[in-house]
Amino acid sequence: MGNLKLTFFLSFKSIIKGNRWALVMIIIVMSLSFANLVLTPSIISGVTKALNQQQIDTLYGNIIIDPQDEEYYIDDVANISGQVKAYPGVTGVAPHLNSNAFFEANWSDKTNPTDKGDSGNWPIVGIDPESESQVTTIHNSLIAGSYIVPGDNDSILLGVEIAGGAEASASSFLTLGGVNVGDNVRLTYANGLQKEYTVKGIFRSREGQADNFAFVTRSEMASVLGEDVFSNRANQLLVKIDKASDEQKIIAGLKTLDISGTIRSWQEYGGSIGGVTSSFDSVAGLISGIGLVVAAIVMFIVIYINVLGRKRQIGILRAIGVKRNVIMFSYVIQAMFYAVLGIVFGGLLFGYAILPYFQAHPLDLSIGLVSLNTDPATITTAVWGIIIAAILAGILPVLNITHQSIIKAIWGN
Amino acid sequence: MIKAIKLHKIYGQGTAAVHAIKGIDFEVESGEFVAIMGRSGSGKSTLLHMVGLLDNPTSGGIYIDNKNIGEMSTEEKSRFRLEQMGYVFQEYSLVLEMNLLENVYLPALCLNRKDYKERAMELLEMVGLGHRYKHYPNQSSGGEQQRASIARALINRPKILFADEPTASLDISSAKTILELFKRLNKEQGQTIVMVTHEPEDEQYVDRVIWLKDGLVETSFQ
Repeated sequence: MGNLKLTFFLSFKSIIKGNRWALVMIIIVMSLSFANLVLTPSIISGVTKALNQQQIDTLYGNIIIDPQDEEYYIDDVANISGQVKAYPGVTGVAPHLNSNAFFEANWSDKTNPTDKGDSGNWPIVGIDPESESQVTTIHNSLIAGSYIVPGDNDSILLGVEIAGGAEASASSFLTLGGVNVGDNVRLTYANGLQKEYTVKGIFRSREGQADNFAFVTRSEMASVLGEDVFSNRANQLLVKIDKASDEQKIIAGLKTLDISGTIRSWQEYGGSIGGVTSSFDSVAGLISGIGLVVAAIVMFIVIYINVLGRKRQIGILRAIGVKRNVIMFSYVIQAMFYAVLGIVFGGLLFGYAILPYFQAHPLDLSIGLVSLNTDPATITTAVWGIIIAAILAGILPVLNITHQSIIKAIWGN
Repeated sequence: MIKAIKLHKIYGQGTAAVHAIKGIDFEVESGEFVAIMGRSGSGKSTLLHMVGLLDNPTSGGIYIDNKNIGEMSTEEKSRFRLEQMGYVFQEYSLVLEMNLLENVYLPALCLNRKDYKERAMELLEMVGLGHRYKHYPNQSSGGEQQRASIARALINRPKILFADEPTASLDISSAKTILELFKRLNKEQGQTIVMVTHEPEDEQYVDRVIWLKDGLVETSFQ
């Protein structure tokens, strides 16, 4: 008890009456280190979150229902959609009827049959526009024209990488060369049927794969494929859930509905992105680790210089009989005090300056607008990282000095 | 009270080795005021550090009240210094972040004594600093700091007071005050004092002088 009182007394006096500039410097270093430890993973997590959200919002929804392994289509779509949509936590179900087609623009300008012109093969998806807008964000990604509505049987929605033009990132020869809203395109379907559509809208979702899709209404696609059979069929059902719900729990629940289909989460489809996000997580861990080591070294240097200035004092304390561990723990308490203040000020800096700045000015990357994504685990890691680094940075120099000869310490050698 | 037998102290190794103390035997009786004197480099501070348990001899034995110091662990020595010994160092050795009162009661706090503040005030009054107890070392003169150091050295009622050239950094008047204080402590309270000094005029205050030359006792006289 006496030692504890003495330990706190030494720490208190050292903090209150010690070098003010050293105190300010140490707290600034701690604060910036903490903010950095939170900021770096938050940016990378923001990028991975944006990547993941792009996949969900433009390609897959949260859950995908595919036909059974031996089937090509899901039948009785209206009934299944109704069942799924009624499940708690599900906010939308979008049936997709998929095909591929040969797209042509300006085909009348071709001078001979071998002229490739402005053409290419792309996937085309039949959608129910209203259901689709409850699942994907394609309807919010239009850069020209408007979204298709039920009954738009002669209209088509083109991804920007199909339409081409200034907004496309693909080379012109890989696109239709820059078609605009109101232009006509001719599609030759896999079954040989050829049909012209008017471009009603062009979208850019910033998701490369989605921007290579074209959309028509599902009723139009059914008529192309053979209405009687396909009007109540789909290749996929995309399911969107509310943010508070757990995907895996809903998947487990949907599996109990005896739906004739295979139910998967979007991650099972987004394997390549899963690899990218996993790599980003590794990079974030690496950068944070390096940041922590750098922070620890900076703290060590600042505290070491501070402790060196007190070497004689430490020697005197030892000479009059103050135990080594009392001296060491007094410095550990000081380091903890610096760390706590660093965490508080660093947290305030992050919460009231950095975070609002990024919310107001998100990073405009090719994948979309990226803001910070700070999860509790990042903050917990940063807090423990700073505390452990501070303790090590505080204890190591003192450990060294308290194991020197008392006389050397008093002489300042 | 203090008995040193064949003390040797060698700094460094091989050809760079310096043999600072070359086999010294000496004794200090309880209640004595002893001065260790000698020229610069004669080994007087080294000897004081060894008998004051601040440094270890290379060989030889030190006994205090028949207790073999060489058999003590670092922590036991630390406790022994705290309970049985007081130190006054050559230069100002107060903790800069503490006021004079806190500096004085610091060793008593280490022993968790109950009346440490009252005792510290008594000692500050005794050394003439009762009115300046809230002052910090940087607000005090060299003489005042040394007097506060003496008060600190006495707080745990040590059996032996060690002083390493306590007047070296002081003006003549302050030095005289310190030496008279030592003399008074020795005569009135029977405090055992071992003091290193190189000032010949300090002889008048002490009971006995041990004169060192080249790491050996040259003479010892009353």
